[in-house]
Formats: sequence, C-alpha cells, structure tokens
Amino acid sequence: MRISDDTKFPHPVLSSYSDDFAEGAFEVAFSAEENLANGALRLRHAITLTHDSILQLVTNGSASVGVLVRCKDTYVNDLRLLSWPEGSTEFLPGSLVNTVNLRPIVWVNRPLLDWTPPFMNPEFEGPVTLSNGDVIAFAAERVLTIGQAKMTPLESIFELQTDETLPEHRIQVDPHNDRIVIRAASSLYDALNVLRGQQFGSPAVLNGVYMPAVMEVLDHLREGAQQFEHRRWHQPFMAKCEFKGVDVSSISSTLEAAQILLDSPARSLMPLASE
Amino acid sequence: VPGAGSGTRTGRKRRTAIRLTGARCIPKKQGPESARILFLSSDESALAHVAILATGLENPDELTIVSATTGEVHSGKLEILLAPGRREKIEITLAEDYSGPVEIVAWEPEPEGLS
Repeated sequence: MRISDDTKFPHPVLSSYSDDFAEGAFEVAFSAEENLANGALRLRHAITLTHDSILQLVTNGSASVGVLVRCKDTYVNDLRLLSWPEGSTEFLPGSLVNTVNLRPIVWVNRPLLDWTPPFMNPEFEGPVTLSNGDVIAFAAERVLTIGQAKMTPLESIFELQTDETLPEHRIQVDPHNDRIVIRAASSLYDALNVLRGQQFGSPAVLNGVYMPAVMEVLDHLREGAQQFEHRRWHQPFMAKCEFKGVDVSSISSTLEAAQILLDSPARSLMPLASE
Repeated sequence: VPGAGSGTRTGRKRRTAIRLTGARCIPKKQGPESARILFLSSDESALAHVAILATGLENPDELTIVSATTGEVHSGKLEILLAPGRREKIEITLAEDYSGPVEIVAWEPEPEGLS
C-alpha cells in the first residue's frame, strides 16, 4: 500500500495534511539503531495520539497502529505492527539498505457501523461506516538512510580533471558524470595535485575547491534532483544529505548547507594559524 | 542549450499545478458506488483541469470522470472555474466503481496552440 501526503480517503482520516478532523493529532517519533557491521536495524518508536475516539479504538483493540516500510533497493514493502504506545521493531541484516520510507498508520480491525467520531468535518454528512482494515489516521513520512553510503567522505565522489580550455586559475564543476568532475585550468590542476598531497595544502583545497563545488552541486540539485538519479554520485551524496538533515529541495543557503555536509571545513584552517 | 533547465522525465511540457485546499472525494450517500461528491477550493482564480487518481499502488491510475454537476467534463477530467476561497461541491460520476483512496490534482490548461 502506498500513502502520500496528498492521499484522500472516502472516510474521515486523522492527519496533519487534511481537515477531516478539527481536533486531534497522530505522530510517531522514530529513532534508529543501526549495526553498521552487519546492517541489522532496530527501530524504536513512541506514538502520540490525541483524538479520544481513535485512541479508544486503539486501546480497546478495535484499531491497530503500524508502519508501512518501503525500501526500493531491497523491494521491501511491509506493514509492521507497532506496540502501543512505544517499543521497538527489529529488521534483519540486509533487509533495508539506503533510502527507507516509514509511514505510520492506524487502521480498524473490525467493521465499524455508523461511526460518529467527534470533531469530524461536517462535509462527511453524519455517521460513516468502515470496513475491516480501513485506515483512520496517518502521520508524516520519515525517511531513513540505512547503510554505509552516508559515511562515504564527500570528497571521494569528486574527480579532479585538467581542462586546457578554461581561463587560468579557474575551476568548473560538471555533475553530468558518474563522479562529479571538477575541471581546473592546467596550471591550477598541477598546483592542486601538489597541494592535495601536503599536510597544510589539503585544507586549502577543501575550502577553496571542494567547498564551492559542493555548493554548485547543491544548486543543481535544488533545480531538480531527478535528473541526476542515474549518476553513481547521487545516492551517496543524497544519503549524506539525509544523514546530515539537509533537505536539498528547500535549501535557503547553499553556503550553510555545504558547511554542514563538509563538517565545517574552515575548521581545518585553524591549525595553519598556529604554525 | 543542452542540459539547461530541469525538464521532465518524459520530455513533456511541464503543467502549471494549481494548489487545492481541503480537497476530498467521498461517496454519495444512498448513491451507486461510482457516484462521488468532490469538494475543493483554491486560493487562486483559475480555470482548472481536475483529475482523480486511484492511489494505493506504486503508480496511481487516473479514474475517468463521466459527468459532473458543475463545470464540464472533457476526456475524463473535470474543467471548472475556481475562485479564491470559494468552496465547490460537485457531484461526479466515475466510469467505474472504485471505493479506495484517491489523489486529486489540478492544473491550468495550456494556452491554445501549445498543447
């Protein structure tokens, strides 16, 4: 089953994306404990449900709380029951890799005849009848990044190339490759290669070349991430963004986002000042 | 310019979406399974094409609208003039019975000669 923020049900459903109910909220907080050695995952949850009628259905066993788990890389598309009001769920090693979507839902376990929950939008015109399995609440989707991709150093998905057509001392970023290519004028290319191998040169390259390159990539992604989905650099880059809490679709400052992704690269300049 | 613009996956022209508020599509009481009541409003003033997508599966299927009490039906879609803040209540009939969840999408028609 697939539920998006825009899904509309033929009966009232509690969610923050509709006004089906004037009062009440349903939220689930997740925290993931990942075994990076074998890929196993423990997902802890804490449920908040503040609509009295739906809460009563859950506590008397007439409704259940669960989470739709989707992982397109492992073809997992499961509904897992969540213990009330908190608990944890175990996932086998390898069953979830890379991007995992979690959509919490509440559904009824038995038919409900002439259900008249409080705060229901009057457009539903009175009592509603629900069938076994009907969804009565859904919460915001949570996206996790599972696996090693998020640990990949960003610098490893870039490739430095020389470009004799560029003006002297200029660089150019080309994301339309499997690795993000940083092209440098030939004399600059030679200098950067020397600096990269030096203890005090690499901070300069990080701040003077990789930092603006990451900003440029974020600019491209902000305009439309889909066009790069088939590039090999895209998955680890996006995994890093998710891991660091950077939403590429709503970046207001690429400078700020790049500093987050590169772990405040100006920090690497500090030892140079004390020499 | 090669590579310029964000484009779309299929190369089709990008439609200008209209943001709907409080949209819902509920069964008509004492009506056949194909009869629905569509509620929608928008903050914009626009001629809108409205489509209803059957969701639940990975790729939503469009449901064909065959009649509507307000607006006009063309090619299975509803064409309706929206006014800012005005709540529309439209009785529609679908080509087939469907009782599951939906997504309701609206967009501005492309200017004459471009579509």
